[in-house]
Formats: sequence, structure tokens, C-alpha cells
Amino acid sequence: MIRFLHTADLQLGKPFHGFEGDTGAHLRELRFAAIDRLAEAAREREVNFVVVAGDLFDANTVEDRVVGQACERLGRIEVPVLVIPGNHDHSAAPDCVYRRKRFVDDKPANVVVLEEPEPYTLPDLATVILPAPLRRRHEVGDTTAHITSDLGASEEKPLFRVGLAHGSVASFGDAEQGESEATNYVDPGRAESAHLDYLALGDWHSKREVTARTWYSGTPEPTGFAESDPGHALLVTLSEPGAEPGVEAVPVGTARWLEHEVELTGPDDVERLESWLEGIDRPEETLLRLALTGSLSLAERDHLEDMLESAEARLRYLERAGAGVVAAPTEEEIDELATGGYVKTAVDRLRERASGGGDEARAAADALELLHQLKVQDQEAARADTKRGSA
Amino acid sequence: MRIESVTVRRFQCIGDPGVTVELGPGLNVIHGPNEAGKTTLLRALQAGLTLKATITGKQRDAMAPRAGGHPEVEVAFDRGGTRYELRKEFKKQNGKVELVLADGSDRRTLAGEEAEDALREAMGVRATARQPQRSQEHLGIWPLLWVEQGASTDPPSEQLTETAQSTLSQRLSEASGQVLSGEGDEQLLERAKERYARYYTEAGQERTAADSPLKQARDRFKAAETQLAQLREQQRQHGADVDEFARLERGIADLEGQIPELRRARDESKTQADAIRSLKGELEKARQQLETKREEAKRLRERAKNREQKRAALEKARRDLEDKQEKSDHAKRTEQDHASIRPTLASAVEQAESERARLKRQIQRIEAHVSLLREQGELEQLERQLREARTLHERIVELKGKVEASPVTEKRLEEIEKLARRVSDARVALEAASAGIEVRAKQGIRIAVDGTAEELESGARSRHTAAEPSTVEVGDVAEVHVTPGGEGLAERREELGEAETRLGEALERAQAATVQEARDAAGERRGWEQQIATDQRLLQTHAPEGIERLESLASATRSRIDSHAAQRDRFTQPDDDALPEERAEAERWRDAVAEELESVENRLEDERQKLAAHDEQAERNRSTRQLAEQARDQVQEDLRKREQELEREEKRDGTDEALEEAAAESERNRDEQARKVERREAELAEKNLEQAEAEEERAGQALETAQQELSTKRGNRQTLAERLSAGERIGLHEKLDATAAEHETARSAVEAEERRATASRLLYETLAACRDEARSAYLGPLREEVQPLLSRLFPAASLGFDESFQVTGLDRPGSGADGFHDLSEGAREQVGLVGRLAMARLLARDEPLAVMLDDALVSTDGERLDRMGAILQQCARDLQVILTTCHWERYRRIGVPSEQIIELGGPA
Repeated sequence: MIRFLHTADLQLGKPFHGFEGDTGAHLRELRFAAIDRLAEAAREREVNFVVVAGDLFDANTVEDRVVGQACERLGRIEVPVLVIPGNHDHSAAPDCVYRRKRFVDDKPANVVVLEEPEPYTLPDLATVILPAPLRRRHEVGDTTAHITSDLGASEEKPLFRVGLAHGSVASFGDAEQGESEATNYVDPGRAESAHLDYLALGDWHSKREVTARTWYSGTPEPTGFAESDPGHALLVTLSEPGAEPGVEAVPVGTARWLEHEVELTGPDDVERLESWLEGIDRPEETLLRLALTGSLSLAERDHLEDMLESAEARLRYLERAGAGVVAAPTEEEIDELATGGYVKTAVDRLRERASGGGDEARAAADALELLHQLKVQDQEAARADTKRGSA
Repeated sequence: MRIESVTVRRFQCIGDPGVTVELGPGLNVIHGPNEAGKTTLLRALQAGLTLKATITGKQRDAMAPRAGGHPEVEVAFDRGGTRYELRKEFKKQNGKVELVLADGSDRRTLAGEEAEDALREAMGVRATARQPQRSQEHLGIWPLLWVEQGASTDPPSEQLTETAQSTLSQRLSEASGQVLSGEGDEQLLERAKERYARYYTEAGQERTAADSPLKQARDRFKAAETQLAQLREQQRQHGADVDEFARLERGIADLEGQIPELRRARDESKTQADAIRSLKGELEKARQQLETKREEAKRLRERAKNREQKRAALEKARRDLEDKQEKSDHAKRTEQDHASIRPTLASAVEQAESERARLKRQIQRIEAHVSLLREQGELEQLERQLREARTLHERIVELKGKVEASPVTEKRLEEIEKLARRVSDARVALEAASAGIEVRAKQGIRIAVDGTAEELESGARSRHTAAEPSTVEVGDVAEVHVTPGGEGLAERREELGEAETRLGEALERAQAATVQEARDAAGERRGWEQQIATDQRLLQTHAPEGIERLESLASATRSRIDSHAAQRDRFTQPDDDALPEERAEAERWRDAVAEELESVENRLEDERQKLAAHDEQAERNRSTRQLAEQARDQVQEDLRKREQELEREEKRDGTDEALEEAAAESERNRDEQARKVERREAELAEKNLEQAEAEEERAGQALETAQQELSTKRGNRQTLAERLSAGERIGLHEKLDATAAEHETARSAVEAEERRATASRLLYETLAACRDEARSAYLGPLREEVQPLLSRLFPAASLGFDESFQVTGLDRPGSGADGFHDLSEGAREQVGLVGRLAMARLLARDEPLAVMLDDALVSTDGERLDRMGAILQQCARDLQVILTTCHWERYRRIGVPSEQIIELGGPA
């Protein structure tokens, strides 16, 4: 029996510059921390080795610092780590990160990069690894075509046959565009046709079972809002060659990337949103993309704004998406804005325009809101004056 | 309010008993000359209505009457149906006020503060402001209605107090139903405008200044976009490099597979071409051999032909030699014949030359002789001069010696003469002092004076002088003792003695015994000196350059003589005739010989020419002979060469018959080789070398191209590999990610700013439009009041006001809009008054008001004044107008009821 951890798409050095403040740095750091967690899982579950099914690095052009840190962390895994280059760190280019001096110098002894599509045997474990490394970013055709039932087969004794590939099991969209061949394609029937005990796949960031023997582990540390089930490594157990593998997801991720969409039309909605926001677990590791629509009175909008500011402070990151909430002042608010005179006339006109649709309505709503702000400023200035006066 | 009457006493220029004016409703005109008190009257009226009786300070002081006493004002007016009778006496703290209010039959009399309060309430004024600078404010609406002298051209808003303004606003709001603005609206508009101004210029253009947030956002976006494009290009380049690398790898592998096949093809084509080239080489060789054989046959044939020709030529040369030999002999004979006469000619030349030499020698000899004779003559002369000079010189030396030896120099002589004169003088003096002794002998007797005897004959006398006691012995007869008794005799005697001693010494020095002797010696000496001078002049004549020079000349002459003699002797031969000793004779002889020499020289020239002509001919003869000999020798040499050549050829090619046989043999060989070449050519014609070589070249080039391509590709791969592994793009994807994020952020910032800009614009424009509309509606009633009045002045014109009732401009058809201050003084006055009247009418809707115009139309011309009159008349229906003027005639035409035309007399 052998046991190993299947992971992929660590994408070390992914920059995350789109995030304000220190969030980017934190997210970058989390990816290195994921290696530590893999090491821990490997130790706890007593695995024989670890396979990385491509995209260990985010790019061949990552900083040397990233390479150095990766080597340092990978060295802490106490068993062999077998790595294939993926589309992010493909190997054909002369500047391939695995051929860089920093990597060559710092690579720990337990790490093996399988750059060639040739069998790699782990003799003590009666295991042969059949890698399908990506030489180019976009390989045309099935990258696992060379993995046949003959490849790496032994006359002497049955071996555990573990395939390692990086790519897509479906040719998304390409067929529609009339292209006959997908790039980085992986035949989903490869494990069966090549008599593999297990085919470890990378490229998809979400955990996914393709067949009983063919799995995507997904990325160990989530990288974006669109991923459905990231943050795992797969613990694979092979009892004997040919037997169906046992696959167990081991959670190793830290950050949570949430997407939330709400339409706000009144104070109840705002209240509900507030309690939802307050109920977020581990807010310090949560990145939230909040898409708000609808319309609120000026006062409710002010309240919403306060609430979002509070959430922004608590969460790791809050991204406001969607069209945003439109200001719809109430009659009272309108009266407060203007009691009479020409300002009242103007407010009435803007309201009328805002009730229509399109850009014009939005501009009118914005104008009303601006007026509201200016009024508030005036009132605050007046209050300040009064205070000064009374003082 | 309508003022019914005013009485003023003791107020500025108005004295006692004062002035009382009754006023009617509508238009009242108060006229009178300057200083009649029109303005004072109005001021007193205003003071009575608005100032407290107890007023002090400047305002009170300003009222002070010229004649003394306290100002007093009485006013009767009607307000709101109540008749007020006011009487005020301005006595400072003791000022008195009395106000009677008559409402129908109800009549109340108030005094003091109560009266003042009631009056203020009726007038709508407040107590005098404490701060004089706001002095107008407490007067309520009145400053608008009471136009002071000289203030007629001010804009009406200048006299508009806050009270008046708010009252007017109230009236306008009532009339239009419009509230211009709510509380803080203007500030809100201002804030909206500030927002707007962040994004837009006054003209509504988007602002491009550096502080414009929109511009900043756009700049930021543009910068991010540029950077992103650059980074994407780098990324694209990187991708392209990687692709290119892969392409190169494939290309290299392909080429490496192709090259061995290409090499094999090239080698094969080369082998084929080589075979053809070898065949072609053989043909070429055979052709060359044929050529050689042809040439040999041709050569032998030519030699055979040559041999014949040469034999003929040899014969001809032999005949030629005989002819040339004959010519040469003839020339030799001619030369010899000519040469035989030359000795005769040469000896004639020699003889003439010898003769000429002899004669030349003779001439030289005679010349030397003549020179000798001439020099001898000269020498004699020189010697004579020398002798003479020597004699003179000797004599000069001798005389100089004598002069030198002579003791009596001129100086000494002079001294002697002087001393002699002194002795003589001393002697005379002594004699004069001495005793004279004269003895006359009467018979011969011997006498002795002091021992000196002398014999005297009878009759003879002997005279003596005795300077000292003397004894004269007369014979033996007597001894006479004479003792001179003269004065100073002893001194004189002594003096004489000294003089004589010194003279004696001088003479001794001059080696002269006597003075005369000295004189003679001096004379002789002078003679010598003269003789020396004479001799020296003579010597100068004989030897001007000195005797030595003469001697050297003589010596030179002698040596020349010797030289001439030697010359002559050198040219003399033993048998020569003796030479004459006479110089003239010798010269004649010389001339004769010279003539003879000339003749000989002429003859010599002739002889020489003859000889030269002969020699020239001899040279020609020699040349002719040499040429003939050369021609002969040449022919002889040619002949010899021909013979040798033939001999050599015979040795080489054999006899003539053998040579002919060899030529025929060679021609046979040649024909055989020609047939061989033809066979080879036929063989080669079956092969195509060009094609084979083209194939060879093509295969070679294909290989070379492939190799070069491989080399290039390998080089490129190397370069690319170096570039890619140089790490230039390390971190690129991070930068790209960062820039993409910045690009996105900047894009949303632009969007947000654009949204804000649009909102601010919409808000500000809506607010501004609403305010403009509101203002327009609000000011409607004022415009309605103004319009009928204005149209009398300026038909179809309109007057603009803003919400603080400032005149914004007069818009006249044809001349456009003018600001108030751009109007002429007259127009300002008229427009200002129209404005005031319109505002007054608005204010007077409930109750008539009194308008006071103190000389308010001074800048208005006649025509306009008429129109203004009509306007005033029109307004006087609702207003009481009190107008002062000093030009009543100007208002006459307006048509005012006679009881309302008040004339004030002359200076009050």
C-alpha cells in the first residue's frame, strides 16, 4: 500500500496587486504557508510522497525571492516531492524557473522536477510516476498521449502507476470556434486506457473528481472569488496495483473568498445585510465581493455607508461590485433639503428626472445626493458656527 | 403719509419770523433763487420728522441758526387717516416736542418721549443709530424717497436700507406670490457652484487645470494605460521569444536531419561532373598536341623556304661588298691628296707668329725702356727737392738750437728794461738829492774825486755829483771836501744800490753785460725765429708730406727704375740694337715697331684662316672616307653573318635536301593527330557537362544553405537562450499584475469622477436655472412699475434689477444693454429717479408716501425734463412729491396747480 498527497496550482509568487493595503502581501504569504500545511498533513498522514501536478510557480518570471522561499518551505516536507511544470511554469523556455540558478542552487534534495515525459520510478515503493510535463504554455493536443499501458511497465512485478498531468479534461469553447484541437488537453479516459492507478491533475483550482481514478486536487490556497471548492489537498491511498484508489480531501487553505449579491429596497434589507456581515466567520481571513443593487432613502444610504465602512475595517478585504445602490430621497428628506424657493423647484425637477431610467436618471439621483451632502455640510458648518458662538 | 404744512424758524439760514409752506397732495414745487432756503426747508422738515428734539452733537450743531436762538420746526401731516401736528424746538437737552394726534374728533396731545415714540412709530423709523456710519439704516425707507441735493445721479439701491429692502421684498413676494429663496439657499447654490467649478470652467468647458480631479484621474488612467501597454508588449515579446525559441529548436532538429542527405547528393553529383571534366581534359590535351604538330609542320616548311631565300640574299651581299670597297678606296685617296698641302700653310702661320712674337718683345723692351727714362727724370726732380728740404731742415734745427740757447727771452728782456728804468729813476732821484760838483779848469790840472783822478785841460769842466761826502783833490792845490746835504739821500742811495743790484742780477741771468747788449740779443733771437718760420714755409713747399715721404717716393721710384731695367733686359736679346737714351727718340721707335706689329698680326690672321679652311675640308674628307669604310664594313659584317647563319642552319637542319624531307614527315604527323581529336570530340558530345555542373552546384548550394541556416538558427537560439535566461523579465508578471490593478483602479476613479462631475454639473445648472426663473418672476411687479415710467423716457427700453434691487442695466433697442455706471450723468439721474419712483410706488400701495426731490434734475436737458415732468405727474397720483428748484420756468410746462407752487423769497 502506498499513500501520497496530491496537490497542484500553488502558483507561488502570484502577485495579488489588485488589493489595496497589505492584503496583497498577506495573500502572497498565505501561498507559502500552504506548503507548511502540506508538510504538516504529509507528516500527520504518514504519506510516502507528494505530487505537485503543475503550476508550483505562478510564472517563470517570478522574483528570485519567491524561488528561494519556495525551496526553503519545500525542504520542510519530509518525503519526496515530485513536481511537473504546468502552463504557468512550463519548461521549454530557456528562462524556465526550474533551470534558474536560484532554483538549481537552492532546490532541496527531496524535490524532483520531472521535466521530461519519461517514467520516474520510486523503487522502494514499487511505484512508477508517469509525468506529462508541459513544455509550452499551450501544448497542442493531448499532453498525456505518450502515457500508454506500455510506458513504464515492468516485466518483473506489478507497480503502482501514478500519472501526473496538467491541463483540461474538456476542450472548453474551442470546439465552438471551430478549432479541432484544444490546448493542454487531457484525455479523461487516460487513466483507464494507460492502466493508471491514479491520474493526478492540475490546472483547475477547484477540487473535482473526473473519474474514480482521475482527480483535480484544486489549489491548496484559494486564489479568487470564482473558485467553487478550493483549499484542499487530496490524500490518495493505493492498497495494491490496479485497486481503486481511496481519495480524501484534506483542508489546507486559509483565506476565504466570498461573493455576495443583495438587492436593497428598504430598511429591512439593510438590517438583514448587517446581520449577515456580522455573522461572517474569521473575517480577518475573508475577502468579500459584495454586489449591491436597489435604491434607498438618503438616510438609509448613510446608514449603509456606515455599515460598509465598518465591514471594510473588519474584513481582510471588501470589494464593492455591482451597479450600487441608488439614492431615492423620501418626501421628508426632500422637504428637509428645501422648504421653498428655487432650491425646492430644482429638487423637484431632479426627482422627476431621477424617476426615469438610464444614465440621465442616475445623474439626477447623483445630483440629489450631492445636494444632500452639500446641505449636510452646510448644516454641520452651521452647527459648528453655533457651537463656536455659544462657546 | 401726506405732509400738509411745514413751518421752520431759526434753522440754519432761515431766521425769524421763519417760513411756512402749505403743501397739497401730488406734485408740489418749491422754487426760489439760490440761498432762498429751499434745501434748508427740506432739511428742517426731515429733521423735524426723524430727529429727537433733545438731540445734541453734530446733527444739532448743523441746525444752528445764523441769527442765534433755537431751531423750531412745525409739521402737520396725515398718516393712515390720522392727522399729526408736530412742533419741535431743538434746544439740546432742553429740546421740546409736542405732538397732537387728531383722529376724527378724537384729539390727543403728547409730549416728550411719548411724543417722540409716537412720531417714530408713525414714520417707521428707529431711534438714531449709535454708530453714525450706519446713520441711514434707522431712517427706514426714507433715504430712498428723499433725494438730497447732489445725490440725484446715485443708483437708487445706494440709498436702500435693509428695512427698505426687506419691505420691498415683502411687497414683491405679496405681489408675485414668489418666494425667491429659502433660508441658506444662496449658500447651497454657492456650494454647488464650488463643486461645479472643480470640474468645469465658467463657460461650461471641462477644466484641464492640474488641480481638476477629473483631469488628475484621467492623467492617472492614461499613465497606467501607457505603462500597461508597455508591460503587455514586454510580455508579448517574452511570449514571442519563447515561441521563437521553440520554433528554432524544431528548425534545428529538422536541419540536422536533412544535412546528411544533402551532403550525399552533393558528393554524387560531384563524382559525375568530375568524370565529364576528366574526359574534357583529355580532349583539350589532344587539341593542344594537334596545335603543336601543326605549328611544327608549318615551321619546317617555312625553314625550307627560308633556306632558298637566304642563299639568294648571300649572293647579293657579296656583290654589294665589292662595290663598297671601291668607294672606300677612292675616299681614302682624296683625303691623302688634300692632306699633303697642309705643312706649307702651317709654316706660313708659324712664320707670321714668330714675327709677331719678336715685334711684341721689342715693344715690351722699348716700353720698359721708355718707362725707365721717365722714372729717371722724376727721380732727379725728387732728389733735388730732397736736398733742398734737407738743407732747410738742418737750418731750422740749427736756428731752433740757437733760439733755445739764447738767454734773453722776451720776458727777461722785459724785466731788464723795467729794472733799468728803475735804476735810471733812482739815479735821477739821487742826483736830485746829491750835491753837484762842477770843476772848471782854468788851467790844465789834474783833479781827483774821491781818489779818481782825471786830467782837465784848461777850460774843461768836470762835473760830479756827490751823494756822500766826497773829496775832490784839485791837483795838489786843493782838497775840496764836499758833503751833500740833500733830504733822504741815504735812502735814495740805498734804493739806487738795490736797483742796480737787481739789474745786475737780471743782466747776469741774461748773460748780458749791459741792457743794450740784452736788447741786441733779444733782437737777434727774434730774427732767428722769423727765419725758422720762413724756412718752415719753404720746407712745406718742397716736402708737403714730410721729408720721409719724399725719401720713400724717391726710393720707390728707384726701385721702379730697377724693375723697368730688369724688364727691359729680360726682353733684350744679344743682337738687339742699342736703345736710344733720349726718351722722345725711344717713344718714336716704339710707335714704329707697334705699326709693324699690327701689319704682322693682320697677315697672321689671313694665314690662320687659310689653314682653318684647309682643316675643315680635311675633316670632311675624313668623314666621307669613314662613312665609306663603315658601309663597306657593314656589308662585310652582314655577309659574314649570313654565311654563319646558313652554316648554323645547315648544322641544325641538315642540308637543303634533308630539311625538305623533315618538313614532309611533320605534315604527315599533323594530319594523324587531327583525326585523333575528331574521335574524342565525338565521344564528349554525348555527355552534358553543363547540366552535371549545374546539378553539382545546386546540390552544393543546398547543403551550404542548410548549413548556414543551421548555423544561423543555432546562433539565434544561443542569443535567445541567453536573453531569456538573463533574467531580464524576472518580476514582469508582478509588475504587469500591479499595473493592471492600477489601471483598473484608475479606470474606476475616472468613472467615479466623471459621475461626480456630471452630478455637480446637473445640480448646479438645475439650481442656477431655477434661481434665474424665480428671480425673473419675483422681480415682475417691480418691472411692471418701472416699465410705464421708463417707456416715457426711453420707448421700448427695459431696466434690469437683481434681487437686491441693484440696477443691472438699461437695455435700449438699437444701443444694447448699458450698466448703470456706463450711462451719462443725465441718464443716470433720470433712470435713478425712475427706479426710486417705481420702488416708492410699490412701497406706497397701502398709503401715499412723501417723496422729496431736492434739485434732483439738474443734469437733465429740456426735452427729457418735459418727459420727467410727465413721469412725476403720473407718480403724483399715488405719491406726494415735493420738488425744489431754482429754475421754476423749467417746470412751468408740467402743469402744477398754482396753490402748490410755492415761491421762496430772496436770501432768508
